[in-house]
Formats: sequence, C-alpha cells, structure tokens
Amino acid sequence: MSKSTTSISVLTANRLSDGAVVFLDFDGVWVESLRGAVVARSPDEARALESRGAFDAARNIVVEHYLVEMHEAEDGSLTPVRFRERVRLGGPSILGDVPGYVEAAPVVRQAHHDVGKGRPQTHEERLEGSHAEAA
Amino acid sequence: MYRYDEFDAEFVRQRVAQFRDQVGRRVKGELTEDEFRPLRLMNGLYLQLHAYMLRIAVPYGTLSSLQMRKLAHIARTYDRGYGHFTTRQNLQFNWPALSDIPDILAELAEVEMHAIQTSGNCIRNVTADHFAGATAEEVADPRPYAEIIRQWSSLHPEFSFLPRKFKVAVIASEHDRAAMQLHDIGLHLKRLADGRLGFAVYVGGGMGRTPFIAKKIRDELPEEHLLSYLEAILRVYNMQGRRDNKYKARIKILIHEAGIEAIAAEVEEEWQRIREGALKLPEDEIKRIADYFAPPQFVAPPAGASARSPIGAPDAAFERWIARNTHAHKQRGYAIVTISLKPIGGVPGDASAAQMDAVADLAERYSFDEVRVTHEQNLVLPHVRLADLRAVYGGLMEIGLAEANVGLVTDIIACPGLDYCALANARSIPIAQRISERLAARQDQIGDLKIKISGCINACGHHHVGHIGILGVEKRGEEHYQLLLGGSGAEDAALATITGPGFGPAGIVDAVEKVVDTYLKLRKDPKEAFLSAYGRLGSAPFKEALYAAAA
Repeated sequence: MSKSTTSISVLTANRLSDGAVVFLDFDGVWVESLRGAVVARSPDEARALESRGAFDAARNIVVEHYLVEMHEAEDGSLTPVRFRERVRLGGPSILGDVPGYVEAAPVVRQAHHDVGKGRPQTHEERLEGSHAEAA
Repeated sequence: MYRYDEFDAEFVRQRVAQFRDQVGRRVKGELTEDEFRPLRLMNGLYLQLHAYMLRIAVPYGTLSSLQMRKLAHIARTYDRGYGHFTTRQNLQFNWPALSDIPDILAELAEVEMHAIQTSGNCIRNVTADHFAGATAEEVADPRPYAEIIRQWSSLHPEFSFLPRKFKVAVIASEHDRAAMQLHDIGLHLKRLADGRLGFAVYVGGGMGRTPFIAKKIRDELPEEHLLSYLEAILRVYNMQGRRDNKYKARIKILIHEAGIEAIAAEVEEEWQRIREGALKLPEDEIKRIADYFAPPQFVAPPAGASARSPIGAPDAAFERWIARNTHAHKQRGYAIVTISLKPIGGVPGDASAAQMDAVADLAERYSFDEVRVTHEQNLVLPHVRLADLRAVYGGLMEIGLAEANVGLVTDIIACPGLDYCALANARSIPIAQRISERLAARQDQIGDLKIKISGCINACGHHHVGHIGILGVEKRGEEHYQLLLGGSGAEDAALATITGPGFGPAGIVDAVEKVVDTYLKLRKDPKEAFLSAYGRLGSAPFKEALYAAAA
C-alpha cells in the first residue's frame, strides 16, 4: 500500500470463455487492455465496481473478479502497484524464448470493443512500465 | 506399455462425455463457477494467471510415440504451439479455451490418455523412476506396481475427497531418481530377506511450506500386500488428517504431529484387518499387469560394438553428449538416452509441437516406440542401440535438443512461476534462464550440481531439495528470492537450508555464481561434487562469500 498517493483501482477478472485477463472499461465492456478502464478513486466507487464484477460473474461473462491497486502517472496512464499484477497485465515475460510459441489468433468477438479506441496495445506496450527482466 | 482394456476405455469415454456436458452447462450459465470449479479441477483444468491450464497425466512418465504425437497435435491445434513437462512427469498446456477442453480430452482418450486426478484432493498421478525397465540397477520394473496403484486409486470412492492431495512414487533401485522420499508415500521395490519381491514403504514426505523427508513405516512389505497396505495408510490418513487447515492437511503433518510410531501402529491394526481381503494381489494378476511392461525384443549387438564415434573423425561434442546424457542399460549393446529440455538460456521443460513430433519419430525408430518424462523436466529414450546413438544425437541436434548438460548446473528445474501461475509470488523461468546463461561456459568444470527454483512456497520447483535451491517471494510488491543450500532429492535426501537475507532478481543470479565460485575454490579436487563439498565445509564459507562484503 503506497502512502504517498491516493489508492486507486480498476476491476479485473478472467474471461469465462478462455480465461484471458480482462478489465472493465467505461462502456461496461470487459476488454484485454487497461486503456479505457474505469478507475475507482474512492471506497464507494470501489464498492460499485465490485458489485459490477459480481453481477457480470453471475451473468457468466467473467470469473475471479477483483480490484487491482494502481499507480497513476501525471499523463493519466496506469501501472499496477504489485509486480504480480504487472505480469498479469503484460503476459508471461518469457514468451519470446518459448520453443514454437505461436501468438494467439485475434479474438474476433473482441474486435468491436477496440473500435474507436485506436489499435490494440502490443505485448511490449502492455509490459511497459512494468518490465523488469531479471539480471 | 500398458494398454487400456474395455473397462478403462469406456470409463475414460464416459468421463469425456460427462465433462462435455458440464462445460456446456457452464457456458450456458446453468452451472455457477462455484459449482463448476471442482468439476473442472477433477479433470485437470485450472484457471491460471492469464488463461486456463490443462494438466494431462502421463502415468509413471511413460509415453508412446503415438501419445507424444497426439500431445504435439493438441499443442498445435488447440494451444499455442508448445507444452510444458512438469516435475510430476505430466504435461501442461497453458492456453486452452474452455470450450475446446472436451474436444482435447476426446482426442486424448483416443490414445489412452486423460487428465483425471491431476488436481484435487485425491491420489494423483503415480510417478516412477524414469529409467524403469531399462536400468541394470533395478531389481524389477517398478511400473507394473505403479499401474496397479493407478488402477486401484482411479476414482477410488473412499479416497476422492481426502484432506489434501496425495502423491505416490515408486522406485526399484538404490539410486533414487524419482525423489521418492519427498512423496506422501514412497515405495522402494526390492528383494526381501526371503528373496521374494516386496517394498520398503516410506510415508509422510513432501515439500511445500512445511517440508519433510519421508519416514520408513515398513521395511519389508511382500508385493501381494501392496494395495491392502496402501489402503490402510490412506484410511488412517483420511480419518485423521486435518481438514480444518489446508496448510496442515497433508499426511506429513499428521505424521509429524502424531509421530510415526503411533501412525504405524494404527496402520498396522487396520492392515491386519484387511490384508487377506479383496485387495490381496493374486500372483497371476501381478503377472498379467507386468506382461504389459515386458522388455522389448532387444537385438544382441555385434562383438566389439561401441557407443563412441564409430565412423569418421572424433567428435568432441558428441563425446560430451555421450558422457553426460547417456546411462548404462541393462541390455548389452544398448544405452538410456536423456534428452535435455534445458537448452542454454531456454525455458526448462518446454517443448514445441515440432520437437515433440521429432522426439516421437526418434522413439519410434530407435527406442521401441517409448519415451519417458523425468521429474527433472527432461525426456528419456529408454532403449537405444549403441550403434544408433549417433543418429539419435544428429536428430536431436536438428531440433535444438542436444545440449549435453544432464545433471549439470544448467539442467535446472523451474516451476512455471509468476509467468503463468496464479499462486506464484515471483518468476522462476527467467531466473533459470539467466543462471543458465551465466554458468554455461563453466558447466563441465563445475560438474554435478542441481539447481531447483520455485516461484512460491508451494515448492513445485523442488527448491527444498536443490543442491542450490531458490525460492521466489514477494517483498513490498516486488520479486525477491531466498537462497537455499545443501538439499537433495535423491537417495541421500536432505532439505536445503536458507543462507540468510534474500536477493533481488539480478542479485540472486550473482549470489548463485558466488556460491559456485566458492565451491570451485574450496573443493578438494574436481571429483568432489558440490554436495559433498558442502557437506564437508558446511554453510559458513558460502555465507561468508554471500554476505561478508555487505556486512
């Protein structure tokens, strides 16, 4: 828990269909990017987000929802406070070294969520700010 | 190899159909996650950090070429092109979609495989010496007994909801390649005083947050009593094991708290009651199962046959590979080949679909169609003619799996760690990669040295029994690593001890190098391996090297 900044958080979960890490965005859609994620800046807002998570879990859209504590930079960009959450957001740090690794095909059902939000982030961009390769 | 009979095949088919129905109901919302979770776990399906993970059982680590090709096919068709071999001789896929799982399980059933009891508080996949049936050191092949235990424990109604998971390993040599003493039950097949086959039975070993070396509960158990005695142990554990606290629920805690004598007495009482009952193994039934594991039709070698560069100029790299990655076979003219899944700087235990297919081809052509998975996350071709070693080596070179490092400092066990695992606190794989890269050039000079890395206290990476163990923890939200020294998972089983304050991700690699440098400086001669030197020297000089400068 950081003392110097106000605790802010976003709502995350795993998508039921494929387990992918998703965040709730301003349109109430679960997306794979932090971009556009709803930010809770008070306990009340956090509670509201959690209720939304429970609601969408009950609707069988997501599982294992919880709030992730974030740092907010001056430009508004968000970075998870815990290293664990940075890896969870960025994906495995070692995929470039995995023999035979094939990037997943784009998820068609997600495509419309990205409309108007610019191109999806690359793996590197998502890791940015959290990339701490050992040694 | 064991072949499913009609009962086995029908049972697995039914299970696939059941799970297909359950997945369908989950997706439609007829089952909640709380209702579905235990069902998916019973079928080996976890939800990890980034995706679902399917853990597929490889009974006692034995695979046919057909099965290996099926795993490659699944990796290619349903996953992201690779699989991960685990410290329990299993295989994990890291990215399957929920809706594909029934089809994956149906494909596995076609080749007599499944994911049943690879999770949950039940008797898990039974592991065995990966040199079983091939090494001259064994009194008999331990796998028929592992198969008998598998059949007895599969969906055993009394033991499907134990206090906690339960792991069994079987070996048949004095040399323990299966970390037998780190299992809930460890079985050592041996000749009894009367010359018959039987077991020394160990109980209460395990790693995790409270590690224990197993204690011997019975020195001589005749083979026909294997199941009745295991049933007696499981029954005592099932009744008395703690269910109030999952961290104290393993049998190791029961034995630690009640004492081995008290538990042994209760097991004995129960066993005396049931030993002559339905579980007593008829001799012909043991033989029927053993026949599945009959040795292949070995061909006697021509006189003077040798593994060493038969044709052409001497090849130093091939000779190194022979020295490190092959072991003596019980049959003259053959060798056991270990395929290292630890390329320098690579991801321990990962294999691509193409590599799996190529290994299957090599096994079919040169090893009587058999592959083994080791608990050290390597593969084994158990029966290779000496005359074929060159061809096998060449085949492995083509797929990047010819690293001659078995048992060396770069042959590192690492759990998936925070790169994949929802339980992990720190990454394991990148630490293994950096250590491998750092020490590769000196690995032959360093000699036998086992490094084992876990990303959390659950110890899937066996850090407690590493000659050098590394445990990832979370400190103020960041990755941090504790260093342990002096453990062993072999016949000289020992638990490693923590050296002192931990290190950051970069610091831990430096720390390992300091330990290695200290060993090289202080060893009597190159024949004194790290663990022996550590036993002689104690921890003091290593701690001095690690912490003195900082103090």
